[in-house]
Amino acid sequence: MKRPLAAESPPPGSPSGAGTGPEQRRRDERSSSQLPWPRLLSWAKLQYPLAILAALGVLGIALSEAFWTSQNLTDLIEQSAVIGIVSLAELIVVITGGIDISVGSIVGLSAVLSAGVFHGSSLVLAILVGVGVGAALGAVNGTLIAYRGLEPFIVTLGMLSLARGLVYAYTRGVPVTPRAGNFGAPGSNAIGGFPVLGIIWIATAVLMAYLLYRTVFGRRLYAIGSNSRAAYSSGVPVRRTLLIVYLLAGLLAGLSGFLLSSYLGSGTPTAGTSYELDAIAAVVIGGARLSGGYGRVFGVVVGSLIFGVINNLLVLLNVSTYYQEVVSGGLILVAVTLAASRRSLN
Amino acid sequence: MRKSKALSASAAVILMAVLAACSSTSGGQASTRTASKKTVSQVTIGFDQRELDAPYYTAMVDEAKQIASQQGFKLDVQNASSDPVTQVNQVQTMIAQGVNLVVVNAVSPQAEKTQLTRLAKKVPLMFIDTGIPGVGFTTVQSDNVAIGTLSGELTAARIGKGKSVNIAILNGGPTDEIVGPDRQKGFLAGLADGGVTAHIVASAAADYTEDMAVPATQDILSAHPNVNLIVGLNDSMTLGALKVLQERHDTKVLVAAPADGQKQALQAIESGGCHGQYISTGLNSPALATVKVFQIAVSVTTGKSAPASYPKLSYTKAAGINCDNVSHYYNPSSVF
Repeated sequence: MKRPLAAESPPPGSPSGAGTGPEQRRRDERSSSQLPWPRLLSWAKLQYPLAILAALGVLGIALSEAFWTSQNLTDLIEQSAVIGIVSLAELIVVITGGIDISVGSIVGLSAVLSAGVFHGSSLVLAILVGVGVGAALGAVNGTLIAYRGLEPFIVTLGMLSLARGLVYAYTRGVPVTPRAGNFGAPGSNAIGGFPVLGIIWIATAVLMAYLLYRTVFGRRLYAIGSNSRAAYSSGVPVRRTLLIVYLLAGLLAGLSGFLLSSYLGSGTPTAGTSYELDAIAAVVIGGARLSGGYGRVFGVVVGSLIFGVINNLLVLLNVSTYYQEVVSGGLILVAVTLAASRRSLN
Repeated sequence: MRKSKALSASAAVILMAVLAACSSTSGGQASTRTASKKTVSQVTIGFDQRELDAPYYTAMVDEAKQIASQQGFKLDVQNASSDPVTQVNQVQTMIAQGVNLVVVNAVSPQAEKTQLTRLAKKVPLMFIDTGIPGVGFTTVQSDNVAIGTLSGELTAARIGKGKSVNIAILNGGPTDEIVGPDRQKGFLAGLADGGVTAHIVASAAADYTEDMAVPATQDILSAHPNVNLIVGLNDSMTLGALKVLQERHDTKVLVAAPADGQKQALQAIESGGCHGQYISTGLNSPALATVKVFQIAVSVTTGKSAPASYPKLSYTKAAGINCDNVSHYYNPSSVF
């Protein structure tokens, strides 16, 4: 499934496609003294997810006068934030060449447990419970995948059912209402008109970007995703790194679960259903490859926004309810095809 | 690597700056929407239906569209596909779009209470069929307890005073917090009124749809061969149960429903007659509720009445239907 890293192909994840030899260094020195436009343009040419988002935006502006209003745009951020964070969780797993289809169920379980444990009487405790539950489930995934060598798809498939089952066992199907008065604050408040959910999403994205691009841990993820045998031979602690990745993904999913409960004001048993599918699609549209070794945070953020915009436009443009899934599925296929064809051009 | 990060960061900053710059544009929208008096043709009403997987809900939507084209207002319909988060997002988007009033058939009252309370402040919000207590200015629904009771009494008359019966119930699932429990309560009360002792031996979720009722009924019959009566809390589920019984050529086990008066159910009652398998159902016409709801909606949006003047809860006409009066209600050409 994972292809060995060829000598000519670009280093994992870097957008410019150039090598890092002495020629590149001279080019860098020259370009640093010139205007940034040529670099900006070559960067922009590679941002196909951004192009798709821009195209959808133009469509929205042209066909609906309600689309480009601050009310709708902030609503859009609010609607996309939870899936956005789940997509970031999926990204780090996909970069290593694995997959995690249990993220949606982890969202659900942490949503209900953060609202219900200790009767949800403390906001801080609720956040800790949500994040902790997610991390614990992620650790189970990681242990089975890294240390037992089981297939990520199968392990996380089992966790998907297990976690969702625990949700129904815990709630008996009835939404859980927390007691804390400020429980809904992170989900519903806004600072200067910008939703707190959006701020948390952006902060998480910045943190993930730092983790992936500036730390040794991040480098190891790309190495494992490109060629795990070569990574192992170079001294990367593959098993421990994979365990941490799945734990981290679970942790982020757990955070999203808490945020979803905070937004709704109660932990609903259906929380997070099918989020894993949207997350994987957002990750792929954003430029990552399911075979591993590739993926950018900005691409995934844009990918999640693309989903949010599609759902938003389907309502704004009054697309008949019977055709909405046809349209949304079609748009996703177009986006993924564009993403794949642009990639192969480079 | 550093340059592309800086470019990504600056793209994010530009996006935020644009959002901030836009903040001046739509401040006045909410106030202009509610204040001015409108004619019917200037009105836009949003309708978020909880699902479109059962005829009851599709009939409601069809009726609403008919009313809209007759009266001349614009109607936006959305399908929440039984997901509370989708419903909240859709209502939020319809409001951003500029609708003058929103009608909602709530998927999960407890899960949506917080966000819909917040949205109800921006635009008049009302509920049809499943409401959220304390939210919105009115809810129009059938009196689920009353129709359940009327149908229960008719079933009791057929079973016979003093008899006892083993019942299996098909319900709407865990998020059916209000409608299903009320219908069940009413039906059991009706049975008790008619002198029948009811023992509930099984209960299963079938999400108010016929196709989910089929496997649920098969499982119930396998696990509890002593069931005499299957009560689906709506006709769609009861029809599913009837289908299973007919496939097994089982004419002993009877079926009944507290609601809705779906035409296929009425047909089954009529063709079976007073000794048929489908005993009774209750009148819960989606058309009645829809007509009343949009009457109120148009009146409020054209300024003829104020939202506060309506009672929090209003009921549509209740009736029990069995072999004696089914011909009064059965209309083969109706939508539902």
